[in-house]
Amino acid sequence: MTSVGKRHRTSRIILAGIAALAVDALQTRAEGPPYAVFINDLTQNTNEGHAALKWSGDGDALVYELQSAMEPDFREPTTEYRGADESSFQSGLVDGRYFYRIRARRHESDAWGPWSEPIEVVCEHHSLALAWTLFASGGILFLLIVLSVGIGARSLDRFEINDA
Amino acid sequence: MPEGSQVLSASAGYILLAVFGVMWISLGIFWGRRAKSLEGFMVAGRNVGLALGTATAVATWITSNTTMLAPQFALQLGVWGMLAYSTASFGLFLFAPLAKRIRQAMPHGYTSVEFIRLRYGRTAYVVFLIISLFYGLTWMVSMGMAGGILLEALAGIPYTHGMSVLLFVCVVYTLFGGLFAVIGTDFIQSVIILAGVVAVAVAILTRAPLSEIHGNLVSNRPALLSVFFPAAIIAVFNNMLFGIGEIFHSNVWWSRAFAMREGIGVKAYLLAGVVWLPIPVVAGFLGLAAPSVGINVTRPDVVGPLVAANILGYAGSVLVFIVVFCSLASSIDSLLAATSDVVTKEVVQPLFMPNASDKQIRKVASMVIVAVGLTTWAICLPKVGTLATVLFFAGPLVGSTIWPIISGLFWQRCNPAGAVLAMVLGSAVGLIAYVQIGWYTATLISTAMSFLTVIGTTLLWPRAFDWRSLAGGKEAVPA
Repeated sequence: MTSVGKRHRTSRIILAGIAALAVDALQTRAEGPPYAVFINDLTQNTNEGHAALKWSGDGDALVYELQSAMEPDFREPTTEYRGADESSFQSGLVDGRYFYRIRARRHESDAWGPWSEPIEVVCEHHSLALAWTLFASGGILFLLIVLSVGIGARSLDRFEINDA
Repeated sequence: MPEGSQVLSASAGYILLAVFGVMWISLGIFWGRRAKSLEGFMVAGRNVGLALGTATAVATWITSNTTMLAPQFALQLGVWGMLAYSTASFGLFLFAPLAKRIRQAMPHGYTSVEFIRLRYGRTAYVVFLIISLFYGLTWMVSMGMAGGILLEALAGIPYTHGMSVLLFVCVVYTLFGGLFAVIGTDFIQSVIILAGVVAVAVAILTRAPLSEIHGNLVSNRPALLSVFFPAAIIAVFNNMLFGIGEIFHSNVWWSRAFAMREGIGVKAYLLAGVVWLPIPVVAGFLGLAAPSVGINVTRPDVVGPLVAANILGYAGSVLVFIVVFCSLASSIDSLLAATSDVVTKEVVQPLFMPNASDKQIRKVASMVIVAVGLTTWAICLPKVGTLATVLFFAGPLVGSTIWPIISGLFWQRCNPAGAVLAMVLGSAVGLIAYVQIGWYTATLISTAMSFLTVIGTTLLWPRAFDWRSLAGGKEAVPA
């Protein structure tokens, strides 16, 4: 066998090995627990006490679990949702820091994938001083509108006389 | 939404869509036989009575925003949000005396834009026209989107298909019947909506007890019950002013004022306000019930229909589908007709066809309905933002028109330049607030700015106005 022939055979063996490894890796990946990741920014700020979370996983027909906690290490997690949806709207949050994480499993499997990197939602409501100031301004404006329309409506007879 | 999480099957959704689509189109054609003249097509012959007048006001004001946004308000802003939404009924109450004044001042009028042109001159007309068309389109887009989102959420019908069918049906029957068809279908739609809302409310209260819902909110969503929820506190009057601005300026409401018989407007709008008031409370309750029902809310603007469908099962889903479909159709048709009137009478006729006959104008109005429908469809396609973000972007613009309308109708000495400034400054400041603080402040701040401008310019530069020029169609001296 020439040296060229030997080199070709060696190359074929190496390529076959790489292909076998790749197939094996893909099979492992296909059978192993899936990953899930958030597709939002990992830090969100809200003045209104709500947050929209969106995620995706590496595969079809996945079941997700969304957990929340008040600490980044998820010492006391709460399961917010378990199911096939890929988004969740959280509302009614009071001031504070909230952490959310997501994981996935295949529909037919019990093996959960790893937890995602968490999202941090920082909730800081507007000040009550601003809120009540705007509330009072709105109330005054409303009263002015009622008064203007009311007085105007009482003048309708005058308009009718003038028009006649 | 992932496949399989819908309560209705897609085929059931398509059947409902087909049944109601055919029904509205048939009724539109039937009533449209009376819409031969321009006055018949645009203002229903100016002879609408109390029952139809009230029903059309109720049905038009029960929009996708009532059935879908009120629950979203409750989910995001809690009890305050639910109440804030119901304050939109004050727009109807306050428009009652305006309706009388409008009918009296402009017995042969057609549109709100025409009033601004006659009262304040060309500059104000241009600004108001832009605001009016922008708002009309925004409202219509929010409803087209709502239809697509609802059909997708309830029955798995692709967003584009549902949205397209809904718009197509409304365009076709408005095209044939004009305001006659709109008011006629509104009557039937309002009866269906009211019966459906009562049925949903009773069924939900029997299956999801108040104590359970309250307990769940206390432990999991405490802010939704809080009296001291800042964004919700701000939203109360913002929403009320938004509702007032919408009704005061929009030709949807002016065209009904022109269409109602002399003396009917006041009673019809007051009655409509009373009938409408509890509906957002019932709809909003669905948003508050969501956490205790255990539904994952994927997007806040579908929470109402989803909760109702989930609690009430298949029959409930059909009911919700019908109620929301009716509420969407009753508003889209009104907007199509009103926007077409504005574009035809205030843009096309004066600019391109000043000597056109009524028959020619009637044809143009039909073409404009199709064009408005197509434009709405094209904007709805990309599904940008939630319903609230789409609609409330128009809030500062409509808020800025409240004071120019009030002063224009009742104050003899308000200044045309002041009206222009009020709309421009109010809109600008309101939009800044929208971006810098939040949508729930924008209308309030815009209305405040507009008020200060109108008051200031009227006091500083009073200018007498001859009311007779409104009735005679004589334009005011340009500002």
